This record gives sequence, structure tokens and C-alpha cells, in this order.
Amino acid sequence: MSDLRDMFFEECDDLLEVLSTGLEDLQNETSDAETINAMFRSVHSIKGGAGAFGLDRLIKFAHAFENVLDDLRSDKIGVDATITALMFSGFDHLSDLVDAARDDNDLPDTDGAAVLAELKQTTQNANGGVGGDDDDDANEVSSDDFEVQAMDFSFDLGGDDDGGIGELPGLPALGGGEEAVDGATHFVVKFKADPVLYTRGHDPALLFRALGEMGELSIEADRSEVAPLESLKDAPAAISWTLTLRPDDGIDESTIREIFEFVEGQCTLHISETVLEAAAGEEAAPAADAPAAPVAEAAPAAATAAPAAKAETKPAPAKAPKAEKQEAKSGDGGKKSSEPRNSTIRVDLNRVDRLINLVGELVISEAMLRQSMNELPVSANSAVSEAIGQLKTLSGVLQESVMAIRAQPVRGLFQRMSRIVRESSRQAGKTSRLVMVGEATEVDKTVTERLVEPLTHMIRNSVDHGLEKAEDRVAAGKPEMGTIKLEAAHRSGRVVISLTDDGAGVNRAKVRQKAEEKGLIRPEDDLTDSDIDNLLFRPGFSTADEISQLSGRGVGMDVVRSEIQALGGRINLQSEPGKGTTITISLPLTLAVMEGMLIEVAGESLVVPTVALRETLQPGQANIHDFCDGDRGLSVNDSMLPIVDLGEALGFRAPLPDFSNQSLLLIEGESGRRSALAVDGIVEQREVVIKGLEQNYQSIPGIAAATILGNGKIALIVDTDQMIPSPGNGNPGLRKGSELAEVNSNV
Amino acid sequence: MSEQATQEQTDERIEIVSFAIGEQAFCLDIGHVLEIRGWTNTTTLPHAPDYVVGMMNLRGAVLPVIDLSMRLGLGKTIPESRHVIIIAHIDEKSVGFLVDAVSNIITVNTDEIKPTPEVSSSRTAAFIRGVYTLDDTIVRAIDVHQIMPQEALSAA
Repeated sequence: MSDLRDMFFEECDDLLEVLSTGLEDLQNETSDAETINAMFRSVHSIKGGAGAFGLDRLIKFAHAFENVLDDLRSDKIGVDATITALMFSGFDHLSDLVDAARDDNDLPDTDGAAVLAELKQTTQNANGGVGGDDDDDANEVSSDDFEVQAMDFSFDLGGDDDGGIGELPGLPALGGGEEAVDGATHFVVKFKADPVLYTRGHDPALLFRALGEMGELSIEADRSEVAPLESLKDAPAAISWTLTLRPDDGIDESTIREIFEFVEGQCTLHISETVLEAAAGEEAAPAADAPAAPVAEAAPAAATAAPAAKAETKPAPAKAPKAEKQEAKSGDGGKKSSEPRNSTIRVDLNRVDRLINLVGELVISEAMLRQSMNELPVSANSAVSEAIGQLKTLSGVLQESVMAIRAQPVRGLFQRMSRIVRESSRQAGKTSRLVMVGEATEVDKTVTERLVEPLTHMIRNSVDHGLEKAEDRVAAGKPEMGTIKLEAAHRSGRVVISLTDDGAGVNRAKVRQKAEEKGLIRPEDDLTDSDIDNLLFRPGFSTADEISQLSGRGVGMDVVRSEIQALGGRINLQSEPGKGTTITISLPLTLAVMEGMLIEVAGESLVVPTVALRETLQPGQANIHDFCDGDRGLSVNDSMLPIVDLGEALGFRAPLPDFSNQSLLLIEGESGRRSALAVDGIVEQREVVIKGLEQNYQSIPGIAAATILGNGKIALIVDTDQMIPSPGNGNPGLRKGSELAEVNSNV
Repeated sequence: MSEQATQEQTDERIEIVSFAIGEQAFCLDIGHVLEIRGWTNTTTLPHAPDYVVGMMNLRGAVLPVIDLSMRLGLGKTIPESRHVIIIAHIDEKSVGFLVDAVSNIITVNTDEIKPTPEVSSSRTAAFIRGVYTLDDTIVRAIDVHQIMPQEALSAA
């Protein structure tokens, strides 16, 4: 049972994502009939599943939500800003309810009550003009609705939409009801199979299909006699069907009877002829709210044939365009929720991770093998080296493919953020919208998961500090509604996620003043604009004059930065006064492999990530200039870069007297600052498998991670950003060896 | 009734791995020990405490090796091939302990442990949980949680 339950909640996540995508479309006015249908299906499936697990609050809420969606798709309500906003709050609350149910928590009763009431009100207003409808609604919220809907859910698995078993696949012209309102003659066939029909192997679907070949057919199933799930035995025998046929030429009652000839005596069959008036159809439409109330509507259908036919006119317009859509989609191979789902499987993440680890080790073993082969006296074009070359290619491809399993589009992450934008805007009393670009960009699952917190915080900051108040925005000639743009893209082997707001930008004077007050910088420090902007990432920095509800709770941008860094990412902030702020996060594509330059320092092998590397040089002593305290600079292209002696910075040896025998690596950090790393020798460029140090040990200043070389030895990967001195930046990796020794001996 | 009595007795009996550092005997609960390996070369860590020898490669996993002698204040070990690394799993982390030799696996009763003598060294008090007396030998039980490198270092 708990497996099923887990599966339900996993499915809920997918369904909520569909719902959320639909809401975005609705808001951006890019929605069509299928959008609302898909949303309806999502909520409906959640409700169905919730029914199976007895999650009453979820059922109730989903039901109210579903009704509004249903009114939307039957055009009883038009899409406007109020409805969209209501749906968004509905979505938020629905997600909360799902989460609460998942964790077995109880949300306070007051939570979402307003939304629920509003949803109900909307449905009532939409249907208010018609007397009978209120009753329908009342019935639907009551408990007997639950049974019917639970059935619906199980039928959904094989079928399609709300039509359930009534809509049989492969039947032509399902939506024929549109033309039904034209005064033509119709046959109404009432069909109810006796149990014996089924035991003899007949299938009503085949009969209906044969009937469908005679003209335009619409089918309505009456499930009112179907027993509740727990006492269910012969389900099919309890269902009766009302089939309305608009016959082609030359079809009369006797031809229709022929179809049912074989099952004579095994069913109840009633065929009648009727003429549908256009006016009559219209009049009846609002009264018989077909899709929302199948049971209620089935009753009159059973009474006389004609009203049943009228009822058919209602859902038809909604269905017809959908049927077309589906055709169009299967034509161009589109993949929406209506397509079969068997193209994906759910796999336990642990299994994937195990596979990835194994492949990582395979790559290492392969490298070890290759290295030992190189040491053997084997000629380069022997069969062995050819096979080894092939092995290398294969293991590389294998690793790439395995890593791709973990890659996921950032869409889900972004959609979570849209909720954060809504909530924080509401709390801050601002109006803003989220624009998403590049949601299809794929990122490692771990990365997307661990980006939730930092992104949430960044967005709150953007809404709270970035965007101006409405009146200020209007005064500045901007639209009242603020725009926050979340963008993802792959750029040169990394994933770049940027958050842009069109707010006031960083108030640099204020930031500088604050930083001076807090002693983070000295008044005489000469800082560029970008240096000042990036002061925001310093620990303990907050410029908000008053602590607001949203941010300023002690968690600063420094936490965001350290979380990004823990993912091997870099964060950078750019701001233009009056125009807005952009925070850019650049992340490695995978957490497992990267390109690096293997170097040697003081007898140790180390790896410098290639991303940061700009140039390698063997300087003449002439280019190196001495400064105070052994500091040295390198003149390159008319600029002076600080030289960092890697061996000294990492505490491997005493400072070198001169760098004439050293190789220099020009590195550039995320902030654009550069420095030159002095190393003993450069070995080669290679791909390395990243092994975290935190897992078994702890983070080490100046070191990002470790890797295993071909000979089985471990090489440390240098954290280049910490090797770039900067006045506004504390660099633990650059503390002199002696200071660190003191720290260590205290432990 | 007798069953319950047996149950209680087995509950108190644990297995310990005893090992030598210099002339002294120490032990750990066998539950922490994953495997025992010969000495392999390690990669020096920058800015590491003096008792962290370096990182070793254990079939693709990177884990730190701690010189237990140095950690316990008994002097630095110059590792040679005769030395042994005990791979242990403690607080969700894998770690290697560099020791002179592994002596034995012994079954003891948990109530046989005697408190550490109240000596002045804070290191003794922190790292030694107590002692077992076995055949005239004093075996010092290591407090594995305390012996791990402390995270405070990187925050400093």
C-alpha cells in the first residue's frame, strides 16, 4: 500500500507540474482548449488518487478546483486576471495539501478555506442562473460523489478524458454532437448488456464500433448502477449506454438492429427515432451540465430518449476541438500528457547513483590500464592499443550517457520559483511576474534540488530589495508590474542560470557606506562598481533599513554564495542603477567530471580546472616584479597581475626566492579578476572524475575537490577562485602558511 | 526465563579489534571496522592538522588517513610498509587509522570496561573511553567520535 501511495505522490508531482505549466500558459495567454483540458485532467487525477487513499481535504479542494476548471473549459467562465490569480492560489494550496498529505501533516483548517470558498463561489456564479445546477453542485461535494469519481479514476487508465468507458477508442466522429443540432433525424439506442453477454465473449465496444460506421455516433455511459468500489463485482453488466446516431444515408432502424442481432436476448435494447431541434438543444444545454455531473445527467437520459440526446449537445463543443488537437499532435509526434506514458520509467535514484559511481570507477580503471599500457613496450598501432583506444571511447560515451540519466530540465525548479514570486510579491505588497526562459535546459538532478534554497532566497531578495514600490516604478516610467526573469542556458560546458529584475539596481553608495560601517572595507579602498556589487555576498551584510518579513532574517547572500560554491558553481552580480540587477550563477554540467590541467607543485600532483585557465607561460625574470613582503606581480599586456605561489599558498613549502624556473598559469575567476599561479611543472590536460572531500573529511581551504589519477594516486583539485587575491574578498586559501598552522594546532 | 537471561548476557558481549601503537594496546568496537589494509601512499593535504597524514584511494573512494599515534599525542609515525591502516566507518564518514599493527579480535563484556584514570591530560580524557584488562594487558578503548578530525578547523 505504501508503494502505491508513494507512486500516487510521485504522480502528483507530475500532475502539479502539468497544472503549473497550464497556469503559466493561461497567464501568458498562450493557452488553448487542450491546456485547460490537461489542467482539468491533472486535478481530476489528483482527486481520483486522493479518493483511493481517503484524503478527504484533498478531495474536497480538488473537487472545487476541478469544477472551476470545468466551467472554464465549457466557457461558462472566461479567463481573466481574477480567475488566473484565483487559480494560482488554488494551485498553491493544492500543492500544500499534497505535501501535507505526503508527510501526513495536517494543515490548519483555516488554510486555503478562503480559496476554497472563492472557488465554490466562482462555480456557483457561473451556474447561478439555472435552478437545477445548484443541486448538482451540492451533490457533487457530498460523499457519494467520491464513489463515482473513484471509478472514473480507474477507467482513466485505459481511456481518455472524463468520458471514461463511454468514449471508446477508435470510434469515428465522437464529437458529432455539434452537427446534431441541425434538425436531422437521429436514432437513440439504449443498450444494456446482461451478464451472459459478457460470459459469451461479446464485447459491446465492437458493437458500438460497427454502429459508428453507420454515421456520426456519440455515446454516453450511465454508471449510476455501478456498485461502489468495495462491493464491486460485475462492473460492466451494471453499465448502460445511450448511443445517439446521426445516420448516413440508407441507414434505418432495421440496419441498426442487425448489429445487435448476435446478442439478441442477452441485452436490453431500445431503439427510437427522434428529431433534434436546434433551439431545443441550446435551451437544454446549461441545465444538463454533462461532464461535471454524469450521474445526475444520466437519470433524465434514461427516462426518455430525446433529453438524453439534448444532453449530448453540451460537452460536444468542448470535445470536438480536442479530438482534432490530438490528431494533429500524434501527427507531428508531439508528446503531451494525452500521449501514452510508457516512454519513461521511474527508477530509484540510488540505483542510478550506484551506476554512475560504478561507471566513474570504470573510467578510472580504464585510465589506469591505459597508463600501464603506455609503460609497456607495445607499439602504438598494435591491436592492443587499438582496443584500448576503443575502450576509452566507449567508457567516455558510457559515462556521458549515464550522466544524462540524472539530467533533468530545470522547468520544475523554475515553476516552484514562480510560486515564490507570487508569495513574496503578495507579502511585499508589490505586483510582479516571473518570466522563464530556457526551462528545457537540463541540469543534474542534485543541482536542481540544491538550487531550490538559494534561488528562493535570491528571488525573495529581488522582490523585496530589487523591485521598487509601485508608485516609484510609475514615477520612474516603468510598468507598475515588476518583471523577474529566470533564465537557464548551457554555455561553454557549464549551465548558466541568471535571475534578472527590472528594479532599481544596487544602491552602491548605500552598500559602500554599510560595508564601511561594518568594517568589511576601509574608506580608502578603491573599489570598482562590480566590487561594490559583490560586497552583497559578504557575510553579515544587509542593506535593508528595516528588516522586512521576507528577507533580512539573518540569512544573507553569503549563504547563497556558499551554497552555490558547494555545487562547484560561481555566482556573480551585475547591476545597472535604475535598470535592474542580474545575478548569474554558473554551474558545472555534471558534478562528476571536469576538464583539468595536471600540474606539479612541491612533489605533489594537483589539478587546475580548465574553466578558469586562460593561458600558461614560462616567464623571463624580467616580467616579474617584486613588491613588499615577498609579494610579486607579473606584467602581462601592460597590466600587472598578482603572482600566487601555489606551493606556499597551500602550505606545502616555504616561499620561493625566485620564480625563474616556475611555470605560470593565468587564471580568471568568476568575478573577472585574474592572477598568475606559480607551479613547478605542467604535466597534461585531462578529464578528471571529481571526488568530493566533504563526504569523508571536510572542506579544505584552497581545494575544491580531489580526483584519482591513472596510477591510482589522489590529486587535489585547486579552487581557483580562492587563489585570486581581491581587496573586497576574504580568501582563506591565501592565508599564509604560518597563520594556518596556528589555527590547526588549536584543534 | 532462561532465554531472557541468555539474551541479556549476549547483549553485553561485544567484539573489539585490538591494535598496537608503540608499546601500547588500544581497541575499537568491531562494528566500526570495515577492513584492514597495508600501508599505501597518501596525498598530502594542505592546511591539514598534523595528525592527518593525507588522503588515500580505497577502490575509488577518497578518504583521510589519521595518524592515531600523533592524534593521541604519542609522536609522529613515519609510515612504512609494515604499518597497517584500519578502515573504519564513523558518523557517516569513512576514515583510515594508521597504526603499528593489529593484534586481535577479542570478545569482551561491556561491563568489564573500567573508567579512564583521572589523569591531567585533556587528550586522554577526550579520546579514551575507558580501559579493558585482558591477560595483564591494559587495552585502551578509543572514543571514535572524538578522534575524528573536528569540523571547526575549516570554519576558523
